[in-house]
Amino acid sequence: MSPIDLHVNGRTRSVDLTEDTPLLWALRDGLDLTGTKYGCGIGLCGVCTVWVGGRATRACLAPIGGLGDVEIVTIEGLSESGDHPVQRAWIEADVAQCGYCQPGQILTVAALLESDPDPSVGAIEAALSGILCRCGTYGRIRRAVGRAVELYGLDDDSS
Amino acid sequence: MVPGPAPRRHDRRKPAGDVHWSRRAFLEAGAAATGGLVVSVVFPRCRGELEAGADVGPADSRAPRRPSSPINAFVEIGEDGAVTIVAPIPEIGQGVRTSLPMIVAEELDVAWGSVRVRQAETDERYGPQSAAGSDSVADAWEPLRRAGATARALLVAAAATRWDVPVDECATEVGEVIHQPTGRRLAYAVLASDAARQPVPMEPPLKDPSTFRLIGTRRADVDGAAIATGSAVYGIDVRRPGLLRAAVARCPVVGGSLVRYDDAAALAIPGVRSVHRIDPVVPRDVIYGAVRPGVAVVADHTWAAFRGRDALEVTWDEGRWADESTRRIESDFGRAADAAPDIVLRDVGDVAAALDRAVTRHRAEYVLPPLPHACMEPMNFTAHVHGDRCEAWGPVQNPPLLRALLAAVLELPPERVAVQPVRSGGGFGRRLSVDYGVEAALVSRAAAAPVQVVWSREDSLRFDTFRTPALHRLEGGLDQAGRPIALVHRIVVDSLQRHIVDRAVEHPEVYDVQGAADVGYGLPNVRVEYSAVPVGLRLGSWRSVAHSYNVFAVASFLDELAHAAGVDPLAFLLGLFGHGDDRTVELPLSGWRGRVEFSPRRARGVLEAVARAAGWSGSRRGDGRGIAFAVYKGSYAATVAEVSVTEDGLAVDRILTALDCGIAINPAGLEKQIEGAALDGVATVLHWGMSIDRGRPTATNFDAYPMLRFGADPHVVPILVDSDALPTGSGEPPYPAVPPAITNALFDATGHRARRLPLPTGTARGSA
Repeated sequence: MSPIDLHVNGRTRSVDLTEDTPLLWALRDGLDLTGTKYGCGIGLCGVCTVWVGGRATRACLAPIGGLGDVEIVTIEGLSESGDHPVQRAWIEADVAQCGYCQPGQILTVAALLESDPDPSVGAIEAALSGILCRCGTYGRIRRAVGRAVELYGLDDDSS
Repeated sequence: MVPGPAPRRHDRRKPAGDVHWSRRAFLEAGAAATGGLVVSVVFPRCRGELEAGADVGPADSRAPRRPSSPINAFVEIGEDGAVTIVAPIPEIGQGVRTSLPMIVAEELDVAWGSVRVRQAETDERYGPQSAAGSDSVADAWEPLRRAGATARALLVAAAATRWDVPVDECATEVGEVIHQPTGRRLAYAVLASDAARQPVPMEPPLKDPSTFRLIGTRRADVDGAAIATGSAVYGIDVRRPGLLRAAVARCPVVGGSLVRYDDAAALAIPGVRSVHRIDPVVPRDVIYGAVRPGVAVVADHTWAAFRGRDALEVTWDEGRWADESTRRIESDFGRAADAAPDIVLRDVGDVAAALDRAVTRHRAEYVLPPLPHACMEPMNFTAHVHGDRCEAWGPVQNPPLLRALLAAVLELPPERVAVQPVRSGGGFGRRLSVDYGVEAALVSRAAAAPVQVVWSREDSLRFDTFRTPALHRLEGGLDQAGRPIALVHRIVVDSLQRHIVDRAVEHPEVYDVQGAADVGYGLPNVRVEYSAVPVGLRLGSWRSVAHSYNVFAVASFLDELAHAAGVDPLAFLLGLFGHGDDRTVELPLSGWRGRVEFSPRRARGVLEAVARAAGWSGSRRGDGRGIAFAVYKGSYAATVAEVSVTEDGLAVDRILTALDCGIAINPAGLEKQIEGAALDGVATVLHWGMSIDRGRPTATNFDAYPMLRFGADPHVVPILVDSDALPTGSGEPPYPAVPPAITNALFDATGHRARRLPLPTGTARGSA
């Protein structure tokens, strides 16, 4: 079994795992990137969300065998110092209770804003209804998304 | 060692015997008299022999250590002015890593922005360390104020010594000591190392609450940035040198046993190292920590452990509960309700006579399912048993209990066992049953390595410690004027006590009657009866424990009586509680459970506050609205639910909850608990309930066990009622009134009375 290369957060790193290993476990155990969380293993809770080739993807369902050529971004790689507009909005809005689902929520919203910087309520719901929060932060998430849209727009304007 | 839910605030543990005394010896008698926590205030924070340590995340997330001086067990001040305050109680999303350090910081008199929080290891010097019963702020309020005040007094004394002035000429102002006559100032950072050497005052002055600068202000969670960047460390994120992972195949039915297993295929999976039999154990008769029979597959990484476990061939003898089922539970409970009660817990007046003369009599039966906790972070724990010691890390609500049980099971003295709680991805009571922690230690010992036992989502649902199923029968009588004059309530559950400690007790009902037997209705005739029926499930504490089922039954039934009387439900409740003085309900139970204070004034206060906020006296918003009340250990809550109903189904549009929990430490945190409890209440009504068949839960992942999703959540309006009562909890109190408020609203909208939860699938708009 030969090591598999993965391009994660701008670096190429190698893991000594079988091809069928889901990206989730390659990240968490192979690379000690524990920001991506395990919640259900069957793609229904979304806390394992990462970006694969720029798209929000359930890492628990993505075997690493097919991922050698794509860019993978985890919550750790979303920004240099936690200052992505979605992260800033999240911190401002004081969203989290236990916080376990929040990396998946943040990456989902960030992916949405990349393609749709001013999403409709329906688009937000379609994206976020796939990420479970057990603690009940959906109301705060909604406020944070609104603020993220503002900050994202400001960032765009100033860049 | 008393296992189970945390001791009430006036229970105090004695100081640890193993602590080394410094020259500043402090009378043990004095320490015990003022509360065991004073010991921790005296001694500098000396890490015991074993340093489990809080730096257990991946290497990148460990912050570099800067030079700093401990002032006492709770406060450490760095040369750069950074103030490290210990959070003594585990964080499960209830906000205590923020609120408890706020208490210390207030009395210490430092800027909140200069504070860093360190999670306490498990040690008696920190006082109460159990995240249970919504007791954290109530139990830690006074000790933490004194910890902060003592540290402040030591800093003042250090300055006074340095300046050679009397202490009472000095004051503090946000991180500095000031000599008032001359205006000289010294920063705490400069004084810290001297402060630790000052004699410790017995009674440091506490701030007048009217001068609080921090307590009562809204503060964001201290870990917000760490959470948003993925660097917050949860149990499943713990990393240690040489850490292996394990998945355990457990007997699927309670009380069964392992017959045989074949591990050849498992051992052939790449990454799998070894396979071990795990024998069942009930440490010190504590079922809360009991480990099921199992087979552990130990591997280099989690995926290999799961695959290895899948490849095991295991034969179980499923034992006496192999044919347990929802149908059988309900029929057993029904039979018990038909028969005479095991216990009559409260019998005021003459209920039979009052019912006989009542103008209106009404009865109802309510059926509630077992509830799993479904924490977002699956169960897990990390343990390293080696030589004569054990270090353990993970998400746990009751670390002192775990430490005691580990010591017992491993046959080690407690000081050789270190338990370091880390942030928990949800608790809700599941992480009080510490079976998963004991199991991890057994696997580590068998594997002779540090091991993280990871439970899959399926494991976490199947081997949850469920909220008991419940059956309630209530009967009430109204007089001519529609006033309630009699109430009988039969509670049928499995005794939670039976699932905490494996021994006969005088009061098996002790944890099962709150929210029913102890409410100060002021009714002249009340009887509460109890029957316990064993079920083939492991049970445990679930957010608000007995209140989670009792309040649903009581608040629904009171609404039914109100409608039978033709009286507005709010007016009915206000009339029921009346205007009298505070009452004490006495039950034949020990401690605070046996004497429950009830304040009609505070009950009316939350009802009137929520009604006002909801515009109850005006016209309805939506199709229906309902109101319900609950009191949980001195925290009073009332909820109004507004629903709308179309041919697509029921939607819960708005939940308003008024909460009076005494002095509010962090109003932002309280609002979060109200919001979370509201959504739990919606899920309870629309989705939640585990069905049992062939001795086991039938839903093992979120495909079959539905959760509330973004978009289906109502608008939540938290209303914090001002109070200067001593702080009581907020994690559980805002939950119990929510489900009945919703079903009362459903009745208001449709005339349909929901007496069984969850509502049938498809009832909710947009539900799967």
